[in-house]
Amino acid sequence: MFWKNRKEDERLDLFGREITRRATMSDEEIEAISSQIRYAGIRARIRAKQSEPTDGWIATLLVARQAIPLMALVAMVAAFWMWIASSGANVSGSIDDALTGTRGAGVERVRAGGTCAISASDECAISTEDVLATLVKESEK
Amino acid sequence: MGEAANKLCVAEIASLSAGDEELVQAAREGDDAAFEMIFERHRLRIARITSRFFNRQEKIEEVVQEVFAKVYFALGDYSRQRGSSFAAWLTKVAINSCYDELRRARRRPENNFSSVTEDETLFLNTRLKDENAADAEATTISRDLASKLLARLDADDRLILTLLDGEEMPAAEIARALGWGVSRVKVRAHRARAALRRVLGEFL
Repeated sequence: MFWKNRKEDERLDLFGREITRRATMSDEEIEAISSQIRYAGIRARIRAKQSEPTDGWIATLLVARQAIPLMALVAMVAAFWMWIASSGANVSGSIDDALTGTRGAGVERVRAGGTCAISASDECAISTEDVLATLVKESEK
Repeated sequence: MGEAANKLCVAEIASLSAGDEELVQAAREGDDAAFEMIFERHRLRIARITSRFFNRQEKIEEVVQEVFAKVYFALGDYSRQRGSSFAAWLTKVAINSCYDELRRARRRPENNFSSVTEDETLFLNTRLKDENAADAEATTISRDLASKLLARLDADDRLILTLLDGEEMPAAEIARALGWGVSRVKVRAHRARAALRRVLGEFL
């Protein structure tokens, strides 16, 4: 089986080589084509390439122009994430307040363990002055 | 192209190289007549290389023009200190240009359907099934059919097979021309032959 496959491959390879050789033109045909190629055509191609804006800031602009769709996509994704972040700001804001010690609107500190333990009214609120007065009293004792 | 023709090609390159350096130097300094002379000296050889890959006259003309336009702008890159003659360097540019064009052509969908006619399919089937036909009768394959079959290969596969079997270039020379390692050329050749066998297998 292996031997038969190998023989078959060799036969196809031989055929393939012949195909590759056959796919070319005769020397006469190539000479005929070659003689028709004019130098003027090459000069025209060179001039066209020379006039292409490939140097300096024009080339930079061309490259930048290609980047516009990508940049627009990045901007849209960034805007989307900012929107998501701002809608979740209420949750994260309370954490920030707790860390920085600032009060959020309508939220007041209460004395733990007293009547104000679960109150958020003005009378139960503790101010900086209250804290200072407490500290002074403690030191006087 | 047999061994004699290959030797002729090498001799041709050697004779052309004499004087190329002066022309290249003059062309680099802006002498248009010198560049035209370079074109006149080498156009047949470049057309011959190009015709190995393309069989339409317009395409061959286009690629040859592109090769010389590239050479014009790359003359500054060519340096004899690299150890290769101008003709060898030009050959390298031509092969790489053909390779680029083959890859571009493969990407264009209209070129992927080089349909083989019913008659050609029948012809291939008969020849491929006849174990005695491969050697002698394969010579009756038309160029058109051969081109259609090769067009079904990847650019890399076609390039390697064309250089190995069409140009009869040794692996080391192909490696130099393409900037590949010799082992890569051999591996690629092995794969290319397998790919061509698969293409032929479709007609069995």
